[in-house]
Amino acid sequence: MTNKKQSEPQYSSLVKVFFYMVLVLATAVALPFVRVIIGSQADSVMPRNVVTSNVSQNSFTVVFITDKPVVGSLLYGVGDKIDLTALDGAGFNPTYTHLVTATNLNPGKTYNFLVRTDSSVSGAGGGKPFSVTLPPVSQTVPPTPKVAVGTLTNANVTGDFSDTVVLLKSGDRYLATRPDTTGGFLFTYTNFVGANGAYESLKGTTADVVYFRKSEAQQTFTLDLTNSKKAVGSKLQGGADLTVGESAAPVTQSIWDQIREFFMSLISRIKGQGATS
Amino acid sequence: MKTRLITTFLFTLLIGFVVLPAHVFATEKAMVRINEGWNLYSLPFVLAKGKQLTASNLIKEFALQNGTVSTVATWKDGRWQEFVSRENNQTYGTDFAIELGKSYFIRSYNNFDLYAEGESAPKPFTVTLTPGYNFVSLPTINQSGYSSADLSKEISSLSKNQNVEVSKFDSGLYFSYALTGGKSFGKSFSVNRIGSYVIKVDNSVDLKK
Repeated sequence: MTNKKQSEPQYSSLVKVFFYMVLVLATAVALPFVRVIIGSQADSVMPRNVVTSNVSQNSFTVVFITDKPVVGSLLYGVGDKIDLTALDGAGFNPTYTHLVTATNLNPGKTYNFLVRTDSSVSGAGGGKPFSVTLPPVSQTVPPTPKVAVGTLTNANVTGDFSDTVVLLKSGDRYLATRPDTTGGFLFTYTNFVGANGAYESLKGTTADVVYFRKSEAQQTFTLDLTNSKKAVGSKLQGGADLTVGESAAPVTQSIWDQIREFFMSLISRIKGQGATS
Repeated sequence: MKTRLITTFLFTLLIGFVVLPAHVFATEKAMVRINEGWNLYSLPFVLAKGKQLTASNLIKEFALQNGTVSTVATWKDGRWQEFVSRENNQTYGTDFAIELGKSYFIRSYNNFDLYAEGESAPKPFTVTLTPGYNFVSLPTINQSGYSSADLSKEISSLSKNQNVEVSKFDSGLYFSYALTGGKSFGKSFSVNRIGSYVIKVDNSVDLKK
């Protein structure tokens, strides 16, 4: 009896130690998940003006804007399998304007994509991704490349045009590019690919151009192709008379998706750091 | 025994110096990804002595590497000249020679990696550029970091009032860089010996690389 009474407290303290060990372990395991959940809500940056541009038989580019500088990327794939990643052309440098290109794709396929800004993921609303159908292969050989060049000038702009995206509009299609820091830009305007796969040039001698610089309101102007060879100083009309892009909505993710995303972005960052070092 | 060992060692050295440099060290390898659709292609290496390659042979070479290619097109006198080979072995268009230093559009029906092995072109290699569009390759460029900006400057310096546009074709679209009126436009991209390019110039020049 005496022995039994003495052994009871020992057994109880062992249980307590085991319980604390389990608690510490569980906290350690749960911490990254809590960071993902809290982080994704606190750091959430919604992309706006999402524009699908530069659509060809084997690639497409997505342009979007954020209200603060973030690292942008795309998650994309065919059907429900959205398991491929494309990083912003700006790399791991946080920017307001984003231009992300997915390449080496298959003609005629419909690709679904989500826009990722740091740790949040956005789609077209209602939990659905954005989508783009690539045209079939053209029956004819692509035409020779024809370029239009120009220079952005704006008295209101102080600083450079490094964090800027320029879009050239033809019908309901866009070509996107980044200007250089002084505002010089180039469009290969024979890159418009129709729904039937045919390469098309711009119709007429002028075209609408819109540009986004950092988080500022969009600027629009008309590009005169007859003078494009002479690198015209484009006349900015100001205002926002073009509706460009779709609004994005957050995509509800399961805890497992968020965990997967967290580790994917961690691996991407480690790989990126390895590549740049 | 000692003499035999020394003789064997010297013979091995001789074989190493004489045979290996000729057959191993002169051979280089390259890999190019071909997408389903249109791709700009050029020969990365010189052809073996006495060997001639035509558009029809090229389609057969692609088939050996699991590539289903139907069309090879060359830019000649301001228009496309096409050679087409269908699955039933029917062909359309006139067959033409595939030359080192020129680039061609090919129409592929599948994605595949194209491997090539051969000898580099001898330096200097001359690419003649005529006014208008030139579909070319620069098979002797072996300079890390060489770009479309470097190439444009070099071409521009060869002739007065020379505007230059250098383009590459990737994933169905052209990417261009222009040097016009002394000012550059577009994002400069890497230029290498396995790449295929379109160069537009105002005046004729011989580019020696």
